[in-house]
Amino acid sequence: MTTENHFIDQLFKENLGNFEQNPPVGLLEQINQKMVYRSKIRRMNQLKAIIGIAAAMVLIFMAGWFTMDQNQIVNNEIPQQIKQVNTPKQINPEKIPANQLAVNQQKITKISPVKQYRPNKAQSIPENTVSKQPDATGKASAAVEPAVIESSSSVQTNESLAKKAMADEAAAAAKKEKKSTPLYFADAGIQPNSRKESGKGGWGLKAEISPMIATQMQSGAASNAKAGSSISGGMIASYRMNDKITVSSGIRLTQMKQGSHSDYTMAKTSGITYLQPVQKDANLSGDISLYLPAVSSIVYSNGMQTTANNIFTSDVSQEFKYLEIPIQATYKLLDKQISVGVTGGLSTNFLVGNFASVTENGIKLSQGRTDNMRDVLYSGSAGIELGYDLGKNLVLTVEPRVKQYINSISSNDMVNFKPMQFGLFTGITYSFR
Amino acid sequence: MAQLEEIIYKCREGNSGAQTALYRLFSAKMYGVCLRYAKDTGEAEDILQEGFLRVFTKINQFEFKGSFEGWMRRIMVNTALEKFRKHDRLYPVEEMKIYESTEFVEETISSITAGDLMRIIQELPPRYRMVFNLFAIEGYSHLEISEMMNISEGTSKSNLSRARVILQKSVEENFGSDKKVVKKIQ
Repeated sequence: MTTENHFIDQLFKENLGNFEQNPPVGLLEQINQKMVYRSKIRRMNQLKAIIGIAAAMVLIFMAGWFTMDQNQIVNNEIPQQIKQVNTPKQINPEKIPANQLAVNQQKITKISPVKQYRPNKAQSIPENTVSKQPDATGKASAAVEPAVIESSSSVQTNESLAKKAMADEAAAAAKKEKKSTPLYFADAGIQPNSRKESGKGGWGLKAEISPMIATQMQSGAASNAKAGSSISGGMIASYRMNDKITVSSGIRLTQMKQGSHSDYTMAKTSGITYLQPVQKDANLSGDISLYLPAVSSIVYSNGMQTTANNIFTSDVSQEFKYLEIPIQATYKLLDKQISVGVTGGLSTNFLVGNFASVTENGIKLSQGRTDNMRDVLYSGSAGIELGYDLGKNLVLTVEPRVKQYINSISSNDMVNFKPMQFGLFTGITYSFR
Repeated sequence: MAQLEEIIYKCREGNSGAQTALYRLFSAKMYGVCLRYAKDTGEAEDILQEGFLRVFTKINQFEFKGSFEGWMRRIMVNTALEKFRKHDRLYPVEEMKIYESTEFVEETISSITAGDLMRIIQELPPRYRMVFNLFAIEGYSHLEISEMMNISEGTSKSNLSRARVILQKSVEENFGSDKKVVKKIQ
């Protein structure tokens, strides 16, 4: 750093270098509000990142599984059979006796798409029809055709004619099958859906929703708190590991609501007005900060006004929203048109919404948030899943489920509350099979 | 000093009481800095607010090397610079050759208050105000200023000269002729 001895510089430096002036009174309150807001945004961004990563992983895993599934069939099974199909092309019928050609033809027909084909009788077919096999019969017919043509031209026996007829019908059957089957499956005589039809493996995607009923949202007994009705819903991806066990994970949004009619005091700290329940252990989920800067007191319709340190009775409603990421397993007890299974799992719940308001006759007088709420909660759940097959890919499920939070929703030592929620989850599952 | 350290440690834990205490300790000084870099009190409040938010969120980065006040001051200056980059960089500023500065001799400046000078400096075009503050009051070199503001050293020098001319003119107009505050020497 350098300084230049200039009169104007000196004049301003001497007068303004250590200039002090008190900022406006409300600025600290605004800073506090922004801190709260930004921490909320930061938390949301972290959640979005986690959800994004989870979704990406699920998608990559699903894509990988589907790709692997098809590659496994193509790579492991087709080459061996195609090798066999190509073998006859190397045969020079002029150098091989007629009886060996017949043997070769038998080999060819074995790897044809209609290996179960058994002719009832030998058919006499004109020679020229053999050479007019359509291209659409695919590689199998292409491989079969030369051998058949060459053998038919050199060996004109009834036996070889019967073999030609077999090849013909095989090619015709392959053509018919090709309309609904990929080429490599038709060539190799593989049933493409054979694995999925076995009932093992397979992904599913489920959309579900449920009304939620919670136990009274209080840590003690002597309160007028009343749980409000709430809702839960989300998207769940599942993977059927075998006939009995399915594992699933996804995202659910869960609400918790309650209203209470209790005694409070009011305090103001660092520019934030707090509504503090008199009996913390028996009421609500902790202190409520009314973070609107304008709030210094609450005025009721009858003219009553709350003042600091006075005890007053008020109605307060609280609402929390959690983003739940469950990991659960279902064990099928019955797997028919109607299925029955037991489910259980663990969830991580991220607090994404925290609203509190002082109400009078249902009208909001002031609003804020509940303090000391934990950002992350863990919960366990168990239920009975009842399913009904709506078709090949769709299953309607109804699942009564109970969810128990493992840690207290508040970090306040005075509040030890681990709510339990009941829900009747109704959902539709689409199976990718 | 020990009390300040305790406040800083508590701020690192996110203690709101400690944050309030820190604000009360430094807000007046920092607001003084912000006023110099802003065009009015509203902008100064914005800078102060943003600056304190950064102080509270980045206080873990303070390693007790050097003065805490200096660290805060740098945060305020950087916040002001960032605001300038976002909002004022596109304002056209007349480029000029380095001004051959006129010398002044102080006779008396007792009648000029800090408030008067603050008002005068706030009337400067944003870039001139930035350069003048950084050079004349904070003590940064033209090279440092050019890097901070992403301008050339020559531009920094010409902006400083231009700022001095405008400030001199303002001081003369407001206090020079009537009150005999400064005397111009050829």
